[in-house]
Amino acid sequence: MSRAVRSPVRGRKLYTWSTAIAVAALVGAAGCGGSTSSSSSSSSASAPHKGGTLTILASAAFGTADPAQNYTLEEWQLLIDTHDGLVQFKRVGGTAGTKIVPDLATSIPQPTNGGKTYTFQIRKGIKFSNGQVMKPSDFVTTFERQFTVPGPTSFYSGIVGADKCSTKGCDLSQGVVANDSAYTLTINLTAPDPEFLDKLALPFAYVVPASTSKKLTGNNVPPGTGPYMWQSYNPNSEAVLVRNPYFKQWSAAAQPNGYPDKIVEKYGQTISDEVTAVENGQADEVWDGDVIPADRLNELNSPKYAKQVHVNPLTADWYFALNTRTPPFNNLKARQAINYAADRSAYVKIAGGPSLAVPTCQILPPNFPGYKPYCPYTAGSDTTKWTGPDLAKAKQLVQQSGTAGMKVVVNSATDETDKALAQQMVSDLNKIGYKASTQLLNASIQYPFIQNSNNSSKWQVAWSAWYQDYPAPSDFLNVLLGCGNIHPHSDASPNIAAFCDQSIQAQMTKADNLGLTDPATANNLWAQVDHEVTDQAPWVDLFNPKQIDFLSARVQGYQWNPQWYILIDQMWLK
Amino acid sequence: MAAILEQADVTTDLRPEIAGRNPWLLAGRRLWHNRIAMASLVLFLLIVLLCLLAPLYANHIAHTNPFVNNLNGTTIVDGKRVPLMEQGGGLLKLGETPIGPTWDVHHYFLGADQLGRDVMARLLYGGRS
Repeated sequence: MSRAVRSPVRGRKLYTWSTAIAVAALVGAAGCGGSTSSSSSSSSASAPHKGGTLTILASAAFGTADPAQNYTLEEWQLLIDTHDGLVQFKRVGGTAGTKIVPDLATSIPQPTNGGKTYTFQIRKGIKFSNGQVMKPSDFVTTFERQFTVPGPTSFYSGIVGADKCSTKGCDLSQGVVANDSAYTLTINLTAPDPEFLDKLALPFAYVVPASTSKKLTGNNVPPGTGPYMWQSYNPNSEAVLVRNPYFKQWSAAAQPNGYPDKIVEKYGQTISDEVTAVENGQADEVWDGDVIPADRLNELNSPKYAKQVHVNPLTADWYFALNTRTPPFNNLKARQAINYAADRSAYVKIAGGPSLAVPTCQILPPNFPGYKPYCPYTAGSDTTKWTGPDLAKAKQLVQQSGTAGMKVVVNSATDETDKALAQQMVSDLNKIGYKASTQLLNASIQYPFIQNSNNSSKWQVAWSAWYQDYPAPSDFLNVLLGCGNIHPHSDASPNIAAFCDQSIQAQMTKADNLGLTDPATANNLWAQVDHEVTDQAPWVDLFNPKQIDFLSARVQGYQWNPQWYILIDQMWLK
Repeated sequence: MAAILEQADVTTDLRPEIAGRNPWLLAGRRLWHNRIAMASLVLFLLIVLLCLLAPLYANHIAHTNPFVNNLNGTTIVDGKRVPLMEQGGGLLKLGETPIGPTWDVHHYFLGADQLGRDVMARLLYGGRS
């Protein structure tokens, strides 16, 4: 998942499940050990009940609402309540929330054909929010749209026929075979994929009616099968979810019915004003991807808000992508220079201090498969952790690169914290001899702007953040820095830095394949890839964040799911 | 008759002290004798002067660069070196709070902002805009 925010299995199924659960256990233990995290329900003063309107405040909307393309935490937290896929992450808080359970499929199938074929039995009697009956053939359109809209296609590029798909057209009739009589769906892959069930649990794969346009639907969200439906979405004002009249719960584990009658997400206020509104009970949630400004954090330490504030560790990165297409950062020494110069403790302070952020130099977050601590861009000789900047080394590298004095535009969002991060980056760049300035965009357009190569001449450094899609190293390394995720002229090109190293790419492919048969060796290879990519410095990685959820006093039933974070529709109002 | 004559007197009569005098001089004289106005003028000119001297203050008195983040900086308060930013308290210890006014012109007179910058220096520079 991109933000918050802003990112995010058989024979190998066993590997992926056990790995996922092990990772989640480690993450949960790390979080619970600090005694400030909350991964399960807080004590409630009232029994669970339906009713009311839950209001979320977000400083900006999430761009296009088409589920085939939208890659933001912000929309995903709503899409899981309005749409369903074949499988789902269990909709509970805590480590149990990383388990894959059947959703629109009646069960999780064993793959056949050497791990390349999955045959799902589809549930009958489920309707979309427009009254149409959901059929297996609806999934064919859903997957084809991934390539025609397009979305981040790499997740499903292993489906037979996908290699011939493009924005001009897509025929997956050999790869996604629907039988509306037997109510089965068979997916054929070109090669076994240990992460395939995780990928099916992402909103890109949530079913939409077969009649849905193969082109981008913009702000119109196609009907889904979840307990809520989209009444409206205006990125300039609000999104409104109301109950889907055709929903009947078929699996509490995958898609439980929701408690609020209506969910409203409002846009446009500053995050500081959002905090004030929630303190005053005028709204129920500061959207958890909005980083609460540093000058508002101290008041949340008050015992008055003890039951309203929840802090959880995240497998996520906040970073600045370095534009490798243009000078100065098409030069390795220049990229390494800013990595040495970056004062990561200052960025941590901007994020709210050590309680909310841990400095990092590398791509993979702690407690992740393949993570081995590594930070070459630090003062001192210990390269397992960052201790301080090394300005002398940084200046030396700038001189060696021949890029001293160049103008550098630092792109970020207008939110208070994102702006402060950009200002710090300007400060770090100027210290080593560049002439840096900021370029601030509204959060709703900043992420697509920096992804699209049409804009690549306008910035040299761009802030972004990534939260896991699912617990797999490729979800960071390949999705964000793989050659296959540079999509020219597209708003969905998550390799923002446009970094492509064929030698490293070959190792990623090898590690991916090894994951099927030898997970331990695969993880070691992923660790090596992580370190090599870090050495190539396509990013200035800043810190691994923790998440604050700040809720109004009337909200009950808070749960934090490691995949989806706050479970919005599982909260009820006193 | 008397009322008309009185009105004629008002429109044609000039007191000796203002007759023939430059109106600007007259205004200046009136201002000079208005103590509250004079005090305000002096204060205003003092503020203008201080703002013009912002670079002098920042570089030679406060020794800060108000345009550069200084989140890890320190200053002297009551003879002790203290960090400009302090981690929040309570159970959660969220946030970083900048130092408040020290009332010491050499050490963050009005405290620091969220990025560790000297508020007094920034205020003076801001007055130059």
